[in-house]
Amino acid sequence: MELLIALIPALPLAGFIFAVLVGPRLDHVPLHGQHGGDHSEPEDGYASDGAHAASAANHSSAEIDDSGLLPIPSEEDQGHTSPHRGHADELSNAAGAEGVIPVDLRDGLGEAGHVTPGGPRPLYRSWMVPTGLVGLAWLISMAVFVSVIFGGQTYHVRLYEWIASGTFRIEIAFFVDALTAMLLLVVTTVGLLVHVYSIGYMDGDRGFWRFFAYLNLFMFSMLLLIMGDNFLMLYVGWEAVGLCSYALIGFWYKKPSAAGAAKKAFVLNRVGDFGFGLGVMMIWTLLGTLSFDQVFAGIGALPGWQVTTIALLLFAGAVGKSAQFPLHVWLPDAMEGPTPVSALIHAATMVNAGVYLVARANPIFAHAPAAMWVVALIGTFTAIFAAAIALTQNDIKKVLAYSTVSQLAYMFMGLGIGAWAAAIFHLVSHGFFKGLLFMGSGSVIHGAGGEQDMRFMGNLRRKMPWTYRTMLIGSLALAGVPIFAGFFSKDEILGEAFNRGYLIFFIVGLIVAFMTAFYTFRMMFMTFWGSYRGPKPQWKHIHESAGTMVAPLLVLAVPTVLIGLLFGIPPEGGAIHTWLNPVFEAAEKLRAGILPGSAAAQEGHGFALFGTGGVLLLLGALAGVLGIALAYRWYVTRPLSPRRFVERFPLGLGPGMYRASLNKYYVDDIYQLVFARGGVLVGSALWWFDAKVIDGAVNGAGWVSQRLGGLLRRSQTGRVENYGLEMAAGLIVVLIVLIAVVR
Amino acid sequence: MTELRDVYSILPELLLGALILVVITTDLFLPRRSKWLLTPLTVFGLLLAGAACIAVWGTNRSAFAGFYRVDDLSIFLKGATMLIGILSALFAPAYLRQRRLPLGEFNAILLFSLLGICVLASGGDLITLFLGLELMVMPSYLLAGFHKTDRYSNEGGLKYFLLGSFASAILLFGISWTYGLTGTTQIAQIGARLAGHGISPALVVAIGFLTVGATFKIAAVPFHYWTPDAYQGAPTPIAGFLSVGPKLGAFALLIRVFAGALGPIHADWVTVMVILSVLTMVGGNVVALTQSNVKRMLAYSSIAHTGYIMAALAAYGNAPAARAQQQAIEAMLFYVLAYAMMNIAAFAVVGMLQREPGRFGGLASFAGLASRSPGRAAAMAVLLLSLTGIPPTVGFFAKWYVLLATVDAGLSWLAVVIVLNAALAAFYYLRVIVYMYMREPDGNPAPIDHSLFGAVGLGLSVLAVVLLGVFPGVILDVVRISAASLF
Repeated sequence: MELLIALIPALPLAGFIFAVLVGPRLDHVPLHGQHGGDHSEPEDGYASDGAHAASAANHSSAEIDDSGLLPIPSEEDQGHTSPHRGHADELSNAAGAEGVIPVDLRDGLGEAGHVTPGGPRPLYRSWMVPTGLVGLAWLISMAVFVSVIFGGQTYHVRLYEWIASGTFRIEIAFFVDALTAMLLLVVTTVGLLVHVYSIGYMDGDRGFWRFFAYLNLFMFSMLLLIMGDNFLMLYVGWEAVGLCSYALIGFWYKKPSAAGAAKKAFVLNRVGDFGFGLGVMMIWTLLGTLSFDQVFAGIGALPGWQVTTIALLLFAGAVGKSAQFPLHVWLPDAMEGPTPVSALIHAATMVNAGVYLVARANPIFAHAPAAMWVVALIGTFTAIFAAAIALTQNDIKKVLAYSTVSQLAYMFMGLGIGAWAAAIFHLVSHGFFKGLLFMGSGSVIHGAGGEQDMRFMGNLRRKMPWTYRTMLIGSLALAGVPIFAGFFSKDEILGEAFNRGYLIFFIVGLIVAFMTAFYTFRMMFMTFWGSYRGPKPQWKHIHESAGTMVAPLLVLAVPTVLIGLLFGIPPEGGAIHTWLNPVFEAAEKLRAGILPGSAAAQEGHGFALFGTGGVLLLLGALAGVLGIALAYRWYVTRPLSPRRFVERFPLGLGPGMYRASLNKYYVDDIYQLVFARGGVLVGSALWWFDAKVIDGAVNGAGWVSQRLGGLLRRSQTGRVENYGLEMAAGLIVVLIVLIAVVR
Repeated sequence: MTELRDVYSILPELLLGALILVVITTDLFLPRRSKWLLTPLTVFGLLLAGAACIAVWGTNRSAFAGFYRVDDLSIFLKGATMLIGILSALFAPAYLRQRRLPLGEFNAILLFSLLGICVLASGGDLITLFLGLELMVMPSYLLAGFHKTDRYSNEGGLKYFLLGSFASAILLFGISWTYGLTGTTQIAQIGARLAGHGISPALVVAIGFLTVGATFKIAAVPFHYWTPDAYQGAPTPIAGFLSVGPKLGAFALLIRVFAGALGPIHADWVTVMVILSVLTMVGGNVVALTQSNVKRMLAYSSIAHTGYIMAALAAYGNAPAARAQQQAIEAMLFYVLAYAMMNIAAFAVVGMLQREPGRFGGLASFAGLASRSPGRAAAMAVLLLSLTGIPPTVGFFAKWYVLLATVDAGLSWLAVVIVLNAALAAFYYLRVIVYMYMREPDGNPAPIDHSLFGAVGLGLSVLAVVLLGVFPGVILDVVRISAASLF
């Protein structure tokens, strides 16, 4: 078993190496004959697919308000030439027409490739080995999961001592307990399904092999992150997933908006990682070790302020990686990447790393009540903040992106109030249903010819029944409708907030639940119900996606329905608590000691369907159902009512509030203003942002050094006599220094 | 007083000398189309010499009346020399053949230079050191100008020769002052006499000239001016050799002179060494940053690496205790070996893209290499990551131990400078990776050389870079024993 555990991360690594070395030889992509040379995907796609080009062109001219769905329709109001794009892209819009063209357009290239006159059919085989190896890793993970969860085992696999210099010793060792097993379940399952899904989704892309190479590298890094037994391995995995995320967001690197989004994600993650790195260094300096068990054993002996500082620094990393306020802005922009990437990295796995970090470091946080408060406050604020943005977004992927931010914040809220197991429960269920929703949205975009704006969708359930059905299940789970996974996990966090006496968090959580249900079903109704609002010729091109894309949706629908019932019954005392309690036992006891009030509540409280527990459950369910009902009323039965609501809002605040939400409360703009517009051209703003903030000091020095380099280079005249002279001058300086220092 | 044991202890050098004769004679009799046999012959001979290194491992004695010092340190350096020789012999043939340059002469000159490094590594006397140094650099001048019909190669070779002679004269001058002060050229005795000797202006002159002469050979800023021109002009695989081989020898010289002869008065030279080290790493990096030609970028970045190794030497000079001193020497040895493997191979990849003689190794020729030659692109990516110092490659540990040594020697601020420089270097190294993996090949992509020898050499070095990064313990033990033999 130990060897098998070591194999789990090794298999994707092997897949990565294989894909890099052999992949390019396995794919055969015909070049377009008439052009002769190398062309980027976008160019090919635009040139050869008339339907897409037409639909793209229609965007700019179409009257956006044709359905009456949108209270404030004119484009000027939104301040965007293209409604579904972030600010990063706006910079690039000036560069050319690409800016107007829907993001996932090159999906259509598969078909475009087929119709190339005279060209052979493209051939893609590079997915086989990487996907197969991930499949194998999944099988082993499931065996490990069963053995850990049901067998009550924990595994500690020590491979060898990696660094052994003086007192600094780091082992390569894997640690699998119930917490890691839970993440293994999510990461490998969603990972495998995304691999399968990508076979269909990436069909026709010139970078096919590259995509699978990155995916495998990501899987390896993520598994390293969750399986490492010390902070250094966690950190290495942490940086590596960030790197993969950067490469995958910018996968279509020729598209300036994608490159910009990738850079933005990289920079904002660096800000958080800097804190995380400092935290790890601080642990090393104070405790002289980085392995989890030794750190957690020794943390109690440190003075309180040191522990709090460490906890806050670690949390800074989590804020960056899990896209919490104020570093959340990269995640919505990250949707520029291919949709499978959004599903895997930016919904189900990597963004959970922050939650995992806090949960793993629970003994540290338990010793730092102030840090716990910060976690809970940031979580609660981000939850309602992001949900409020999701209410008005029109890009289907942006809705899901903000929803992800909001749901992750929910988990942090849970962690902050000490509801560890509930937060991890929500992580697992969210990983499944959000992965499902993202892949579903990808299927929609794929089938609708690259369209991402929900204002140009509608009635798609007639064309894509399976995508609709599976996404409906995912939406019910996200909205927190009873039976589905999200209901149980969300209610646990709410319930614990109530039981532990955090009434404010409970109320905010309830409001967020209502908002979540509303925007989720707003998305569903706008996409799948009503009448089709896109360009008419496009309607007949809309089709259900290929089998490899729909099958993962069906598979994911199963845990979305079942996992709540399996893990969460009875509520607040379900199986998941039995499994996870050993991990959090020490932290729980400690907290009980620190906060005497909550100790009593904890001991005394047990779930009773006809008591407080039942009422809470009912409230949670009610919030969800009400949200859905409102969405139904506004977007199906009375399509004009949202506009009226905005117009009639007391004090005339409606339009302003709507605009604020649509523009994401101007956080991006503020950042733009603060970091970028310092007298620099807007076009180079991101570049400068990059240059200034990545390792701040380093690249600050970079600018100076460019100048210095130019100067030094000029001294490289090429004339030997000059060189000789310069050397002689150097000799004299050395002598002077020597005379000065030698006593 | 020459004993048979003295002769036995220089077995590697003897084998190397014999190999030179064999190569020259064989070259005379081989028909033109069988010249390629010289490569396996050379590699085999170097393997034998490497085996001889293992055989004499643990000797630790002075030979030939103290002129020659055969300790584990010298044997480690000789082993590294053989490795560099093998890689050079593997990388060069294809490049030379494409330009109709004679393989036999190359192999012979290369071996002469290697022999010089070996003598240098074992120098127990300033005279031996100087002899070894000249034996090492004379063939290097020839190698730099090896492409006789190429203007740049001629120019680079000539510059290298002129400035190198200048530096040799300075070094010799320093040696003569040292002799005048101490009355001996034996390294072991110099240390002892200087320790009792007070500081005099004459000593300052001696240290100054020795420092400048020696740091010229490792291309420290501001004595680096010959490097870019020499490397740029030299045939690319030869530039790879020049950037590691003579440098290895020069670091052997530095260890022998500064840690050996001038060890007892380390407090006097450490400041100069720290300043030169900072100048070197910053200077090398900032100029490398502005290069768009990969070959030239590697030339400048090799200067930066020199700076990191000098930082370890500075750590030796500043170390409060013998343990920290030894750690600094360990860091130097580890870094030199790691650097040798990754840099020579990186140059070789550039050379592989110059199959067509008109190519100069610009960034553009790396565009889209990932799809044109996945193996070479992946190898180059690993090498560049290692040069940047990203785990789990050997380059990471090399930097790591230098950092550890500087911190333990009380030079924490120097460690910070190294880290900042490494971050700066990431910019220009990773740029090449971006070109390989995120750019489409340009309209007229450079033809790629697929010769067997080159591929084998590349595979070996990449394997070593990765394996030593994942299992650094193997080489660390060897390094530890080697460094211990100095104390």
